[in-house]
Amino acid sequence: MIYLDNAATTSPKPQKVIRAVTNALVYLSANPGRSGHSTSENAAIVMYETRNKVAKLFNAPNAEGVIFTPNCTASINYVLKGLLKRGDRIVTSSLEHNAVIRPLTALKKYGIGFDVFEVDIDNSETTFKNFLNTVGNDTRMVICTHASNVTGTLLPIKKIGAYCKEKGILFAVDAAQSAGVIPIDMKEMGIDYLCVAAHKGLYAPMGTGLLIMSGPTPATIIEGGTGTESANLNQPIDLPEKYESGTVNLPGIAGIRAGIDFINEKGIDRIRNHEIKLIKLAYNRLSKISGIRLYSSQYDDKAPLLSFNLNGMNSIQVANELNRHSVAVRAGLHCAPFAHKRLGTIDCGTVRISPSAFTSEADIIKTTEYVANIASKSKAIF
Amino acid sequence: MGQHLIMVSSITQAIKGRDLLRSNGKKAYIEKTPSHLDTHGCGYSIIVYEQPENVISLLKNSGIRIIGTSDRI
Repeated sequence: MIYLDNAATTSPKPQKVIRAVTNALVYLSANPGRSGHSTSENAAIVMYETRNKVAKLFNAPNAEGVIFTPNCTASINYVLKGLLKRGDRIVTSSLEHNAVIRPLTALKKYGIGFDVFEVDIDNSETTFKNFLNTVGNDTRMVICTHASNVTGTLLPIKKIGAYCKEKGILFAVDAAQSAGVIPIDMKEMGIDYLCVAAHKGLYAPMGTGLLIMSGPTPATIIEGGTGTESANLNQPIDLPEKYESGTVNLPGIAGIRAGIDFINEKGIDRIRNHEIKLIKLAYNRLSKISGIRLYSSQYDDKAPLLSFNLNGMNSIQVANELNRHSVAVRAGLHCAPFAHKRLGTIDCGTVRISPSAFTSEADIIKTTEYVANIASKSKAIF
Repeated sequence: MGQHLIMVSSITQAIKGRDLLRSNGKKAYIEKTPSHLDTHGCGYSIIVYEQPENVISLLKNSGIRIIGTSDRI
């Protein structure tokens, strides 16, 4: 199997992560910090150490602001639904995933509105100008993706963050496609809330997400047992437990810790350079295929993923054909209809390939050969 | 040398406080707050070997919320 669907979740996971998860299941199967016995305390120490590693990786102000969530979508929901109130206006981008757009749409019925700025997929200066033309005096929060999951386009996060800081606007970033692949410095980028899919670029197991906070603390949207202040019927106010009701995913958290060790050992820049090199190789080879449409013009300053279509074929058909050759890609709308409207692909979707640290040049060469074969056969049919 | 409990709300705060004190050369460990002292429930304590007053400002300055102190009986 050639796995090129790493933007959905990375595979394979590093051996280090597999060992850490297994070790947690065997030796740390106790509710962290709840019970006071050694295994429970050791599990809590793993959580604490993981928070510290996460805070250091993203230059967050402290470990307590690192919240373990089930996924990036949950993190985004905690931020939006915990902070926004009737009359608030939000600004977001035209390349957002449904993780952002659906909660914002749901909040409309509570009198919370949103405005969208157009992202120019090849010109970040135009994107920033569009942002400035959209944001207003009544904007309470800006939330946007760091990197599009369809085109790999990077948004000018640092400039947007600086503007938000200057104007006192809350700034939340969906880093599902960038965390672990592109360096993120919350302080330098002015990010108040960083939402992370730990099972992607941090190579942790699925079912792991992070919300990293440096801004005002949101109201909770889930309350319950935290293992702290149990006599108090109100939700505790101390972080991080305030946002971690119910038993946490300790094996997953151990996996996050090992995943961060993995990317620190490899080096984020090295991982990104490797993946960008592969995407450029794919781009160069694919662009020679007659009847292909690639949805970007260059790949130096992008997240390492690539979308394309073949004339006369639906993206799902192409993915099915590749699957027959044991190549795993993602096709369709990628939960990002906004982006597809922008690209003009809302009816057909796109085929997306996304490498990881484990992908080789041979994987890309073989895949692009298969795509060329599929394209030539499709011409024979259509 | 007697032991003293500095009670905090959670194991996260307790581990943070313990590590902070140790990095400042002070002896400290953590354990669950004894139930007769634990009015909030499920709390943790940092056990220190000096008067809590000596270290409380260090802990507070790092954002640790102190619930109370007690001598270990």
